[in-house]
Amino acid sequence: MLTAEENDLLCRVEGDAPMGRMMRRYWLPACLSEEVEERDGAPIRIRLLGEDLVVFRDTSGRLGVVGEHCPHRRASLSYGRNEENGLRCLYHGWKIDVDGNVVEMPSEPAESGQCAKVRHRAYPCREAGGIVWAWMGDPESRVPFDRPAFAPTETTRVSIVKFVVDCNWAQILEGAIDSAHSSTLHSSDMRPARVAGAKATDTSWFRPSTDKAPKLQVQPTSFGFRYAAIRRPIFNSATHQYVRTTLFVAPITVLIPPNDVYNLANVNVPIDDTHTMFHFIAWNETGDGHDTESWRKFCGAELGVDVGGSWEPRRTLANHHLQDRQAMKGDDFTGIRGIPMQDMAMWTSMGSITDRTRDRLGASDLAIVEFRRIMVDAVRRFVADGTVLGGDSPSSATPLCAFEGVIPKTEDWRTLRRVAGANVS
Amino acid sequence: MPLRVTRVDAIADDVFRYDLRSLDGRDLPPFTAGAHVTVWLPNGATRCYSLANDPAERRRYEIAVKREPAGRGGSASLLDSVREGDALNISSPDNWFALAPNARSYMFIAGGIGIAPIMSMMRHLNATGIAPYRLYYLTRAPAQTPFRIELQAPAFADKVVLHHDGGDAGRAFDLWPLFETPTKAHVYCCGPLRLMDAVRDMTGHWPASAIHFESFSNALAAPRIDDVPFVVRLARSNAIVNVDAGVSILEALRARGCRVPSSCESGTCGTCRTRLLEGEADHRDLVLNEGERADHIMICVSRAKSPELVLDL
Repeated sequence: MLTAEENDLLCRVEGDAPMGRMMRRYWLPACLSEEVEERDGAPIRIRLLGEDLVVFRDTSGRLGVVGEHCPHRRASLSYGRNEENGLRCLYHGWKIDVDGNVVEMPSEPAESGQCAKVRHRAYPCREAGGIVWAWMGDPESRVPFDRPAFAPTETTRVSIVKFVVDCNWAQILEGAIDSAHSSTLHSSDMRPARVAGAKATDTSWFRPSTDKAPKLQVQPTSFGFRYAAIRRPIFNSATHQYVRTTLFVAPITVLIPPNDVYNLANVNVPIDDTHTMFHFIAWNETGDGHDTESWRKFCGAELGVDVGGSWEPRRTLANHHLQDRQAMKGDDFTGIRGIPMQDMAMWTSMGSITDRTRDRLGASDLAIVEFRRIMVDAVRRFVADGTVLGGDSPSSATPLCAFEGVIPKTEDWRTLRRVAGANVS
Repeated sequence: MPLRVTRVDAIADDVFRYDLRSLDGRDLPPFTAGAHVTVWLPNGATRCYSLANDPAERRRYEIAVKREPAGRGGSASLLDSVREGDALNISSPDNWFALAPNARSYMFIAGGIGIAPIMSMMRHLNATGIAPYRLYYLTRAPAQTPFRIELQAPAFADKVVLHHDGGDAGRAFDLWPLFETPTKAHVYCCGPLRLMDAVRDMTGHWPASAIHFESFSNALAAPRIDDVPFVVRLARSNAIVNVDAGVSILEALRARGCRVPSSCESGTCGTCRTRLLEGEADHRDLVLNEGERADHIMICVSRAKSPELVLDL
């Protein structure tokens, strides 16, 4: 439970909102590399922190993340021609390069020299882990780009599910640090089984526990926090416990526990106050066991089938997420296919910015309480003295890793790490 | 009410069946399958025993009593000093383990003496035929299997799986295949704690309303009648707040207009965690670990052992 003022501090990112200003002190995902693969290909429209932008790859292969509206009369550059190392506005032919220089103004007298006087908004960008990252903050506060926690090496295999969610980013993130919900909301897809640790097949996930009421323990860290959800295992609960540890990496990333095939991450990029670009990422360094197409299919988020060309899901609040009541009479718990699609129905149904003055948290929400506490504190500190949560702990210096497994009760989960591909039966 | 012990039979190693009837031969208070009675024992203690007979029998209660070498001595005092013809003081039956009406089928898991209430259930189901059932009855050895002879008779045999593990965990019955895929059955489990824990750990994904345990331990913390008033001092304002019995610190603060963030108000979510500067807390929450308890308190449920607590508020 938060006050209305705290809820706004946590959630709002547009304009001068403190959280939005703080988020500009991190490299943020702008789009997927696959969307701008082609040199001189179509520019794509994006919206980040309430700001409309276009992303394009120029003739030389350089990426540009620039303001959507032409500096001249504000027509959208998304209609522009991507040619000869710049994006040319269709209206009067002004041409903008990836750095925001206006390199041509064919409608102006050549001698005016106006080209040199106009600069268009352009954000530095990098590519890593299948994602184009932009720095939207002041140039002087820019930190060196660091590989994302879910793609620690160049060769990490990354499969990304992506779609637009019609609600604020923070309630989506709270879903990723809420281990308990998985045992209920996703119970048709995550079945208890006689396994040593979490297992994935093409159609299901399996877990060594039936426990719906995990006990949570939180450990604050420099990058955010780590928490363990501790469940009774199906076997040997007198001596063992089933532990799933999850990492919140400020401000928008969560590393969730792996299975035997891949690790999982979740990145919740604020489009604006009431829309979020959700990313659900399967990754591993061995390169096996998943690919983008099968991952999207498993998640019920196939492009062109479940998700449209602007990453808009076919399931919406307006069509009640196409919930199938008939299927619910059988063994389908939700009537909604796809793990993140089930989540989306819950997130969007909570309201575009959920009213945290009115929720009632319980023992299973300990990590959510911690998230709210540290992010509200972090924003207040940022406003007070400009410091940024996790600003001094680049992820490559301390490779981050979630964990899951059945361990003796005597073992301390805080010391444990496991990445997918480790041998579990 | 006083009842007469009309018969005592040994039905397994260290297990005896007691028949109890009214002193004047009249009908006893009715009961339903799964019910138990409280018995006042010769040593002054009370213990609960499940009724094992068919509830249609109106003149008799049947209980099974096991000598527990590690027990508190209650059952031993009964076995040692109560003979046929003696009278025992017994409560009316109560039922915390009743059969759910309208279940499509029943699955019974019994360990050792935990068979008693389930005997009553099966006898009832045999007599009425209202729904099919199956019993998985786990004991150490045939000689330690109360009601074994009866369960091997035709009335029960094809509905009963008997398993003896010889006391070897490696030969324990594998229950998981029964529970992996939830069915419409209602499950009733009675037996040693570790058996009930095993069944609980295997049925978390079943509807909670379909899983039933009989343990005779009151799992829910009852309202504590011995709560006493105490005083909270707020260090920042030096204000004194009286906390009456039946009122939480949080409620007392709220009544004084002091707003502290809170959410679950049941000691589980961690929102109202408050620093404790002085005094000894009576911690009743599920949030704080041992280390944190030294200087923190969840003010929605916890109280004081000392007359005064000083909080960082």
